Amino acid sequence: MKQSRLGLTIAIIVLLVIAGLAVFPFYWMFVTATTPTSNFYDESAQLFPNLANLGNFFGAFTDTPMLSWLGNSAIVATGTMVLAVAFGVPTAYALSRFSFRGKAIIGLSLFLTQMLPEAVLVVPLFSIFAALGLINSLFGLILVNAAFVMPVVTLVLMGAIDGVPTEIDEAARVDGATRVGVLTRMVIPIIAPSLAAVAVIAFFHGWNEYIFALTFTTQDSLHTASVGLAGFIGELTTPTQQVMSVAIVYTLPAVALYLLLQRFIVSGIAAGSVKG
Amino acid sequence: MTSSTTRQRSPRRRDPRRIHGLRSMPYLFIAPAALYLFIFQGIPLIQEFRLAFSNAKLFRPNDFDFVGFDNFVSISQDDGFWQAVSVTVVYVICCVAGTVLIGLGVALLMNRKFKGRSVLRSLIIIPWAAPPVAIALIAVWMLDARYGIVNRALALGGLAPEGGNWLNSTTLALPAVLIVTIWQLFPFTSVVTLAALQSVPEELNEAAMLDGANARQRFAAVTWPTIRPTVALVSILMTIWSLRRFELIWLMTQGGPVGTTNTLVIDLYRESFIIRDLGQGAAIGIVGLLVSLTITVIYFILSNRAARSEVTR
Amino acid sequence: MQRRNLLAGVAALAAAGLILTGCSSSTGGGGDANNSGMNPDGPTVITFAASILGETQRGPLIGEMITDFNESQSDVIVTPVTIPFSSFGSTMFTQVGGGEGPDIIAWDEADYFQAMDQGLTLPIDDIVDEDALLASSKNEIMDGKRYGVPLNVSNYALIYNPDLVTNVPTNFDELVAEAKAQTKDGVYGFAFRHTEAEEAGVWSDVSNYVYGFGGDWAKDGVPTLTDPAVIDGVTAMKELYDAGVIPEGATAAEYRKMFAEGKVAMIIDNGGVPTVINGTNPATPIAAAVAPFPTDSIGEISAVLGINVNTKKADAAKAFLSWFLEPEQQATLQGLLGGSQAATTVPRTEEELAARPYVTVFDEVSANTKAFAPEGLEAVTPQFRHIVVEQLLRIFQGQVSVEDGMAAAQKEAEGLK
Repeated sequence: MKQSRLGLTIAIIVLLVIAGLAVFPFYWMFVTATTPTSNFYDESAQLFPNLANLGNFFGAFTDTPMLSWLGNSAIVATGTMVLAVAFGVPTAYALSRFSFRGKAIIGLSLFLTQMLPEAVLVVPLFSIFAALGLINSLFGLILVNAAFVMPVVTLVLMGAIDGVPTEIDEAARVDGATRVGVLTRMVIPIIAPSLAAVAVIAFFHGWNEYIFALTFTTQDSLHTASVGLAGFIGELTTPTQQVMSVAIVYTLPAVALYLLLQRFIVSGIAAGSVKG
Repeated sequence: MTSSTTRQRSPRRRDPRRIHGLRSMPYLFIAPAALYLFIFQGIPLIQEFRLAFSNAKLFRPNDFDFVGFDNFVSISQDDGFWQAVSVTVVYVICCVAGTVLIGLGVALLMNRKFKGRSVLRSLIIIPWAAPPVAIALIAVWMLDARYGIVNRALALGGLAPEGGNWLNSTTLALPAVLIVTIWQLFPFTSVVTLAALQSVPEELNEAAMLDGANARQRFAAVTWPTIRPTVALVSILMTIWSLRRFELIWLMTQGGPVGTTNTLVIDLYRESFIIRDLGQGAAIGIVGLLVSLTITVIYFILSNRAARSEVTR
Repeated sequence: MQRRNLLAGVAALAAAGLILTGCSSSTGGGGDANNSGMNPDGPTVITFAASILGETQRGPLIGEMITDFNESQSDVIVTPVTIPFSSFGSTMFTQVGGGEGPDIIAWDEADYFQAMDQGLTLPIDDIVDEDALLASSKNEIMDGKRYGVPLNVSNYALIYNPDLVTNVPTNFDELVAEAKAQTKDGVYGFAFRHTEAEEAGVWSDVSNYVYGFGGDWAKDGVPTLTDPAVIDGVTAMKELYDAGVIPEGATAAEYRKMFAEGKVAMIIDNGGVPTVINGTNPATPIAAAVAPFPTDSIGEISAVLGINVNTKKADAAKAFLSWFLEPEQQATLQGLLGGSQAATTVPRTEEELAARPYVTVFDEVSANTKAFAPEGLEAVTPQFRHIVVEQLLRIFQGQVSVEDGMAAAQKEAEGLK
């Protein structure tokens, strides 16, 4: 397919600008984190990071409980990912492969859960959590986060499984595999890209989540990074550089994970959505 | 729908997406998830409905009386509530339009082969991966009236707003919040739309070119029909998600100044946690859910109608 | 055959999922797992939440006091909890309302009134010596019973940078003039809170103006928002807002840091702030003077310690609070609070007066202070506050005149119970 060289060049330039805008705030976080305080409240403060001030990052690690926060975020995010996928895979398989009464309603309900803002449910959930003894528990956070992201996982996987020809299922069943065996040994490997995609989506959800992490934990040792970072807002004394350092360290793992798996994510989400 | 007792293998007769098996099997597959969702979303939702008809307060969420429709009457008489409705409508429309259009544009631009394309794609996707809390923090700093980089850059072109106020300006706060939201969400629409673009049948495009169609005609005849379902799906997802967005707005403006960024979610959070009137907060939440629900139902009806019309075409 | 395999498969899936999440989860509630009440079988662990614990300067010092307590005896261990300052009240009410929450809570005074009224704090008359307490602490008494005791009391005064300010204002007009004179070259003459995100802070700030001009938010449970003195106070604040002397959109965190960098000349703020500014930048000079309002009336903000009604370890909590109120601890506390005061009257040490001479100003105004609450309506202070601040922000943004805004607030406030 022929394309004009000019058209391509313009396209690349525009994309570069967009990419630059996409990345700039992160760059600016870094610049802010390395700006010396004397220069901070200055209308012409530095535009480039001052590498001499990388020590500010170390301050973030020593003066704030950032490591504990990040550890908790990691636990919550990983647990959310595992649980959401564990629940989502069989549900998606059933919705895709079987026909049964109530299937349409269940599919619609999953879609409807996407409309529930966390803010609406946080107070009733608190009572439920208190009754179940899940306050001050990272496991409790994992449970509620996975519940909120599982419908997305299911819907995307459902679309992906729809794209797997049923002949594969049948061939395996003819060979004597059980339904579960079909699922685990045949279907799952084929939809691996979508699995990676939803795993990342679930991980992000747990990593980024704020309201539940704030409300359901009273102990410092259980605060996640989102709560810790938000705590800096309105707080009187922590220098903005340190806050930005924490923000950068909090952002990096999510971005890194995404970049690592993005090839899968792109095809995975596409498989789920183009069909749906 | 074929019955579950027949075991015919005739490929013509059977719907290729249905497989027969034990009648109870699908329920076994789904039961754990259904129970799980019921506990963590169903029950709280039911409780929220109860709260909407009560006078519960934050400090005694379980000790309340039912007051019928009082809460709903009260919010319908509150100007602040209607402002929240209009802010939400504007916010959602702009979010969806912004993310879908920019996403479509980016996807079209990226739908060519050139060196470094995957690197660009990785970069463009980064905003979506960032935690909203971190984004809110840096956005507030970048939009600072005195020292923010945004004003410094705009000043170079003489475009800085009067007084430099973004988040404290009744006119600029909502655009600022929208820009940050769209910045965070457009990678999602770009990625999904790009994937859809890549499934556009190449032969059709070439045939159209041979027929002398220019780029716009090719887009309308070949590309758009293929990607339309995806764009529709992405639009509805963006609509529903933007109705839910909380952290970015809350941490940037808390709905201010004077309610110009006060969406329904922000309003219900404030009502529940700052004014501490759970009944009113729940009532606002229910209204928001009804709005979401209406939009979804309309979408399903429209998309069903479109699918049906495609079949008959 | 098939059915058994299927069930086995599903069970295996579920079990695998649960095991994986069990492995990846952390331990839940350390404190709650311990014995409740004073138990000779081991120390009781109680939790103590205060937003001051999150401050970079004073937080660790209070943490040290807690450690001292833990080490001084073996019956009770106190675990500090840091809740983000901006969401302290809402988080506490959610948890306490839900039957949980930390054992000891340092409430923001406005929230304390509501908590006390709703029966969310336990009476502590048995551990408090009324005569030793500051006068302002009578706010914490309801129906003759004491339900809380101050952690710290911070009075408001004019804080200024003596290097920048040439004429220390003694009345309001001089304040406006000096603020205008100092606003130049990237420096702002004044600053105060005026954004939606800082509702509690805006309420404190505007209350000072209203009190200073001789007004009150309410009398005997009736809102007085349209009284001339109240209108005068709000008008005065609006005058400063319009004069272009404050950094617009700046939160308290930001403008206090700006003060520390010499970018703000004057603020009317509480006694704890000089410590904060000093900690941010010890090189910046700080001085204080009585707030230049027509009357002596000025506000005070307190963090009030209360025992959570949901606690299962009331005895342990009381033990800690008793220890905390002992003269030795109060003296330590006073030493680290800077311009704020502890619950009991503690004379300032010579070295403190030498190092921080401005503290005398904050102590002096003690007799004239009022809490930031509408008299007779303290129990609904948070809701009253929201109504007033909502209108005040509209006034600042020029959407409504002072009179109309306050009239609207009056009408809404009269609907509060």
